[in-house]
Amino acid sequence: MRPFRSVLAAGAAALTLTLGACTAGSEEAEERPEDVLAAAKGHLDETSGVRVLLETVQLPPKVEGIVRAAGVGNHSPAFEGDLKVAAGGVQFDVPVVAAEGKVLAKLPFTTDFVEVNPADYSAPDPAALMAAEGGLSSLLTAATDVEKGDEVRSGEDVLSSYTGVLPGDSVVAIIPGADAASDFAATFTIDEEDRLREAVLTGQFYPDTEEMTYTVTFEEYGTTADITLP
Amino acid sequence: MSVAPGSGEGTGDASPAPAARVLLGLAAVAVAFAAADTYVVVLALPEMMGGAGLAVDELQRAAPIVSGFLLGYVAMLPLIGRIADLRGRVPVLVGALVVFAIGSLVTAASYDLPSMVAGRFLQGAGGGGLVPATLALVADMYPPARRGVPLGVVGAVQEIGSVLGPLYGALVLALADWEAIFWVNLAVGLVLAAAILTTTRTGSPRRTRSRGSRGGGSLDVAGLALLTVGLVLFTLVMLEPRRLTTDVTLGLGFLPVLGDSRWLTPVALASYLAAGLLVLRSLTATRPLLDLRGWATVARQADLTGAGLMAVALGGVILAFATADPEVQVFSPAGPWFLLTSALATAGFWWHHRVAVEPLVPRGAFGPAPAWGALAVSFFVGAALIAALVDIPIFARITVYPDSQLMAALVLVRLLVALPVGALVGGYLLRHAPAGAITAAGMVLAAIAFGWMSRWGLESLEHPVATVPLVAAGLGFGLALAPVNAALLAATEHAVHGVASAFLVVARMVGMLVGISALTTIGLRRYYAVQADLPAPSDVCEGTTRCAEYTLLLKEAGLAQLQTVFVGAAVCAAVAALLALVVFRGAATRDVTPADVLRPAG
Repeated sequence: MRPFRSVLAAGAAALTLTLGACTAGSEEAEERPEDVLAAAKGHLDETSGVRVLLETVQLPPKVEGIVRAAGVGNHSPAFEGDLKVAAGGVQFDVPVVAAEGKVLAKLPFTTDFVEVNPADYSAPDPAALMAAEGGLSSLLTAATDVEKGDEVRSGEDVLSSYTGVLPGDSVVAIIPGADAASDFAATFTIDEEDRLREAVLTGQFYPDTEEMTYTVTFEEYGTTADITLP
Repeated sequence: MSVAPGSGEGTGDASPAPAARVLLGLAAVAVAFAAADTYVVVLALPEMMGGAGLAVDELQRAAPIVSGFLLGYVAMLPLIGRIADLRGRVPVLVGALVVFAIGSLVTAASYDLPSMVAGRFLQGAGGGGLVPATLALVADMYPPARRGVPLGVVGAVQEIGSVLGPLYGALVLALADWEAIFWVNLAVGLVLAAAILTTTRTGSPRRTRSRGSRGGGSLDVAGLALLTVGLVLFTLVMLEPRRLTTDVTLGLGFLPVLGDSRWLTPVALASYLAAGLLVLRSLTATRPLLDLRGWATVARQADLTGAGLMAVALGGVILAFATADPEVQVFSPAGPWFLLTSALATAGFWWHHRVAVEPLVPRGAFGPAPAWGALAVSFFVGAALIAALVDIPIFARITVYPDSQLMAALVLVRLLVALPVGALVGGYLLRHAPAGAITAAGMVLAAIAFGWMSRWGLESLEHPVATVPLVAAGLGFGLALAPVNAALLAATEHAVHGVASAFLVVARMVGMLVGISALTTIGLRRYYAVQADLPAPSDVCEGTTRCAEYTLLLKEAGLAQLQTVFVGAAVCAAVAALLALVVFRGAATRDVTPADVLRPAG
């Protein structure tokens, strides 16, 4: 039906829009964007576990920071995965396990996990990203000037996008180097079940650098992850 | 080269037509460009590893980004000489450039390591085709007595290309991403191919006029359209542009119809359809864009089986090392199987060589000890050389120039500039000393230089004295070039000199691709095996878990791997020196003219 829809004449466009709204559920059409994001926060806080991928295409030159963080988190809170860290012009993969309030990492060219303070590496505590307060989910409710944007495709699904503005202090919890005083542009992509699928954040994440973009994607809602310190 | 103009004995005129000179010039530029591409990645390697999702301590997995190119080169080089004889020089030059351009496209648009290595392989195959076709072009245009200078020019631009390669890569990286290097390659490859086609069209008006009688329909428009559509769709599949994939309607085209591979999406299927129609069109049209029928005939006459078996044998070695986890072992669990496949392919190659009517290597050509010995020496020279080319820039990036690829490139250039100087000295010394002694002297010099480099620390490159081992290594490698060539030429029949020289290059490249894979993996493995685990950061730094002292410890630990690679390179150079002393004994190299030994060999 969708390719067919695209060739309809302009006069039929209004009808199509109504149809689209009907199939997506009539109550959603009246929902305020803020409510959708609040519902998405609820889903993220309640799920047993989720696969998180935080990533940037390119760090600004000479910045030491996070290129990529990928792994599974739960609300213990705990996280297990890999960080890709840029330092001294090259990138390192650092396996991390965060649980019970500790962060253990296997630093480059070593073979054992050691306890680290992630802030020393301009990295967030990965477990804290999963916290209901001050974690990734809090971005959804911290956003102001929220507006509904275009529909976007993600594989099989058609998702709704919402744009908003995040105050810097809410972003500091994600990337410690972020400028707490400046604003960040955010685009949230929400699926039909009101779950956050993607958050795109743009702004000044590291001191004295240009604007850059981090994309955070969420997959496998409801996964169970038993994360213990090695 | 004291032959008066016009005294040629070849088929062509003494002075080739201007159009022919332009053609040769274009071919030489293409050769230089392909040579530059072998080494263009050594500076971009850390960035390309990031693009393929690799971290810097996974160097052994990144080795195929370098060796994939060498594999393509090595698989095609011996084959192309014969194809160029069967098919003509211009179609082979254009075909090689198109393959090179497609390889550049695939590399630039690559989305993971296998796709990147596939692109590099195609680039190598195209680049490897250019050299023999250009040499054959020289042979067509000049009589034997006048070939010295043009052959020298081709050899020189090839060496210049390998000096400029790292610089060119660093320059592009200073302005743009690593992908830009390959987009530029794509453009240059296509422009050169078009220029060569135009030159040959205008260069022989007789042909265009006679063919133009069919109503000027010599260009296969339908074929060109199918090719363009197919390539655009193919590129879209590789790039998966976010703007298209997230579009509600257009995104449907990027949704796999089956499974979850990007190669099963409607866009991918449409590109297969375009490719299929192009094949159909090429097989049926009177004057198709791609002369598939003609190429198929050539493929049957050239020794494709031999080249294929050789590629499989070498590919197995690359994979055996590249899939290893050096933290655990030198070979992955699948490693022995890759090596077994390699051994079987080698056996197949051997058997094929014995029974084939037109084997890849002429039978008996490498019988005398200096002949096969030259190949063995070249193998170890290549293994040592690649360690320098890949690991010196990485050493510079890790230690003193973390943010400047250009400065890191200039470190390597100190070695590359000394190389041609050494080559000239080596050629000159041949008249006064035996080949074995000169080769051994050069490789001992290189071995000492590598021994010195293996003791380099974090700040060594900041001191001017670091130039000494770099220049010494360059001179050493240069010294060995001419005598190895001379020993081979003196020990082989005149009729097989062309193919014998080609195999010298092949042996060096095989040494390079085995060397880069093996030395890197062994370097990492040895490092992991001997390292006493570093102390915890909280023990080193007071109160925090990160401090300058700990970062220093990590960097020094990282250097241990590169230092081990330099030791390995020193061993390879020493083996080459010993081998040369033994196998080149009695090679009558003082009868070979300097012009002959300085001929292009890679």
